[in-house]
Amino acid sequence: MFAPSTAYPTTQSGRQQLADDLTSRGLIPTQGQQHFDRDRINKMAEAMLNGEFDWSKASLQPVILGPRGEVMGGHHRVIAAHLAGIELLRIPGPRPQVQVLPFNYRAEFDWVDVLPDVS
Amino acid sequence: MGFESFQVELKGDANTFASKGAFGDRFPQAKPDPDAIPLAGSAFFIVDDGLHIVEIEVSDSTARMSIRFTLCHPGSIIQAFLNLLQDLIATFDMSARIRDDVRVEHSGWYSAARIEEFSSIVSGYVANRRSEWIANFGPEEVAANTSEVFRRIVLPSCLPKIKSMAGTTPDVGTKANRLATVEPT
Repeated sequence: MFAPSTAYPTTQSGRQQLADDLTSRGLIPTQGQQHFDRDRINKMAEAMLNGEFDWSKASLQPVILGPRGEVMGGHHRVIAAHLAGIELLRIPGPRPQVQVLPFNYRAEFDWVDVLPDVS
Repeated sequence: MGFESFQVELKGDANTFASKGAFGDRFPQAKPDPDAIPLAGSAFFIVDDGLHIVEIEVSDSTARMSIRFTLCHPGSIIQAFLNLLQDLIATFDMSARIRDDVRVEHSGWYSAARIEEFSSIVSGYVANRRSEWIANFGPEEVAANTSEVFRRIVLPSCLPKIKSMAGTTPDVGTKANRLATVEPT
């Protein structure tokens, strides 16, 4: 069962802590809050913890980073994996779960600005 | 995802569709999407008219859908997308909003009664996002779903294997059109 402590935060302090954690990892979001779906993050994190996440299909559409750690694509997956305590670079398989583009052309934000509001 | 596609979200009420199966029954032009990354509580479909591919995610627990297309589509995708959007809104009596970085005044929900206004707003943002895509990934036009766009365009542009998640590669510069905003045209 999905452990409550690994679900998306339900308090402002928890949301701030998550933002701080993601920031400390050197990751920079490039999508605004409008993109994000809290339920989607929770479902992904739960599937990752339960071993039900389809890493093979995910690797065909991997997380895309820019050269300085900008998250170009796969924001939900990055947050879900962080909540689930899963290191995306260590997922075994024939294809990597993370790839890097040599350029970033998107506006950048701070995590605390883009994370979904708490319920 | 996001940078490779444009997305609109639709919402209805509890009676919009009783189950994922009901969506397929009432909207038979949508076929199951074999390339989608499965997620509990969601069903994934594609609508392929031979010239464009639109991807649909149906979430039955919250009576929501998201519909998207990849930005490498030919320009005719805008009208095809708007036609499909209007069809979905009419069929399921839903409201729509853009799921993208938009100005505050464009970030709300639009009902069927405001579909023309919404279509105009969507067209402006799509034009900007397509220009952004072309400036960075080139003008090749492909009617492809997300998975194929990654395989054909995005992944060949990526660097070799990385060892950590952040800041591991030298910043070799940005493309000439680094866009700071996404103002509609």
